[in-house]
Amino acid sequence: MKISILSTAHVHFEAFASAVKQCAGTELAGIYDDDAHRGKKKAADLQTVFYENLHDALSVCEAVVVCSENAKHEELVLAAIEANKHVLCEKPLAISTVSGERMAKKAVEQDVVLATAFPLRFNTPAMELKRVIEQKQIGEVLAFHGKNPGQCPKGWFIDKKRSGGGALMDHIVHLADLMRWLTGAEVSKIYAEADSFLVPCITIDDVGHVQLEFNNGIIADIDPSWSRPEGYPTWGGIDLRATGTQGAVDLRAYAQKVTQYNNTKTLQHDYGDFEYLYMMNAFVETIGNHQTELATAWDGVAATKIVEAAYQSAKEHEVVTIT
Amino acid sequence: MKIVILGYGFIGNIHLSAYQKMNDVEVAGIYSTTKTGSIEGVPVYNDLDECLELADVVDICLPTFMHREVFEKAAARGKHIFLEKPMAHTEEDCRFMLELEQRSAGKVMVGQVLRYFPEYRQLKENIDPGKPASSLLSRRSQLPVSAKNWSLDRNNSGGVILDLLLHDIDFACWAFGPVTRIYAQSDAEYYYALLTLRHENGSITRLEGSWRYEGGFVQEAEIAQENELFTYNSQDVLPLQVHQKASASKDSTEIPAVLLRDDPWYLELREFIDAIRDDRPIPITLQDAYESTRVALLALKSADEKRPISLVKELNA
Repeated sequence: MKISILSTAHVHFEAFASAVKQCAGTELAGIYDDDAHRGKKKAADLQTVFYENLHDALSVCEAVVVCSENAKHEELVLAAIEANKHVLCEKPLAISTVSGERMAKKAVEQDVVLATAFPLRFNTPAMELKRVIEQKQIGEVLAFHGKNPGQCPKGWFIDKKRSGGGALMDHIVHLADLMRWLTGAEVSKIYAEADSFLVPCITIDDVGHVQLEFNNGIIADIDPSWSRPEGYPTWGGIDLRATGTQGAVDLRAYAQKVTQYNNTKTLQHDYGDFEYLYMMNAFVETIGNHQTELATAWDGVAATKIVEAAYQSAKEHEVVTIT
Repeated sequence: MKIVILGYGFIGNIHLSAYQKMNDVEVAGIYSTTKTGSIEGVPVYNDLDECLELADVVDICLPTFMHREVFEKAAARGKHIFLEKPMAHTEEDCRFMLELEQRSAGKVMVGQVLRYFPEYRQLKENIDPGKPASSLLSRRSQLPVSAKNWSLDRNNSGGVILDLLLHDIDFACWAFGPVTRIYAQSDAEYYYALLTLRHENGSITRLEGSWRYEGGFVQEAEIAQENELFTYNSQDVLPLQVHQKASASKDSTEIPAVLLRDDPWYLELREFIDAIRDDRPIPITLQDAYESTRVALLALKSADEKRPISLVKELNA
């Protein structure tokens, strides 16, 4: 299946491109980017075609990966759906619930796949965690304690017009989706504190502490903060502890690393499975009408709802209820 | 100096060991409702008044819900009092004890022992007090065992929030200053809790307390400030681990593995004794302990009522 990547703006672009190239069922058709300079360079690196015109990039493929700034997702996703292309969209699907719903509905109308890129669903340790929970090895789940801290990605991520928000927008959705996926439950209440004091010279939120309550009574929290300084040896990480009536289980989704030190710095090398590849496989299978764990557009909408409520709670200092 | 230990459960035992290392302290008696005879050569008394006559200094290690009553008796006699944390399990008891202290000639110190853990001191000393911090503090163990399991009854102990997480709440108040807003959630039994605190200086502290953790005792701190990150996890820094063929059974109440010549309990009690001897100010006063105990009690209220609590509003109410 030929896949075009629409925009190279997001830091996950390389992971997507690599997955498209590695996946047995896919082939990289080309790259479109509204920043021609950036797009040409990335296309040259990958030895693929750069398209300056969006419709040219759409005309050479059956499906696309949208990897743009968050605020441009809707425009690109809708254009791809109009052209009858299946879409895998970088998270967060949308910067507002209404925007996400427009995309999800459009995909239903046109009968194409619109999926949200939540690669944790294909993270091998996270999949094992799902099995542990489903087999009731810790009894009934009572609570989740989640951390998704990272380094500040800078660039457009700290420009609210293009990102829709800071650390909360960037990092709540991974764990929110993982918790929904693990339990099948929906978040009903949100309380959040947020601020901007970790990264110098930026005004967008870089600190967040979010508490959730699910509709089946599970309580949870998430730290989406950009709390990792530049000297930290890796981008961040995703940790989740599930506590149940019969025990607890600790997930460190990106713990599989080898550490290298030299005279000036510390480096870490991942040796875990490359989850983007498995996510890409699932995208192809989903297009072929097979049942997969791939997050749908509606999963993306649900995650965005949580982010929106977190911002509202942080502003109002009250618990926000979502339906 | 003569001292009596009132209550001989898990913490009374630790305090006795600490006093026995001090050449200038004699434990004259132990008050216990369940034990008789003597413990390590120290006579056990089942009558509180009789035991109180033995010394001018008392160390209250009784279950939390008994603190007020025994504190009242000791304060009325003008004793110097070391009071194990939490100071009390209700706001009313706390206020009553603060009033008693005002009228008593004796000194009072509260055992917020985490302030004597050198790793937490390192954190406190190295953070920038002029900048807000974003912190994650976690404390986890298996379900503790106590006489008649009083500590598992939320009405007597305040559950995991007051009995366990108060350590970290107190650290947060000590390191980041007064709290302005609290939100807490807990399970039905109060064995597991998640808290969010907002401090006056803008800091945000999130805490996890668990009595549902079978992975061995853990205390954990992660503090981020502008361009800085401090991390500490007790399980990552174990300086000695013994691995046996047959696994040894776990302790009933888990405590951190401390490999230090002077453990934190010794240090807090040593400072208490020295403050009395030299008539110096007490390092952790009843008022200091009240600040953090109150936050824990309001966290319980937040969990009960499922709403955030603003301390500013609470004070005005």
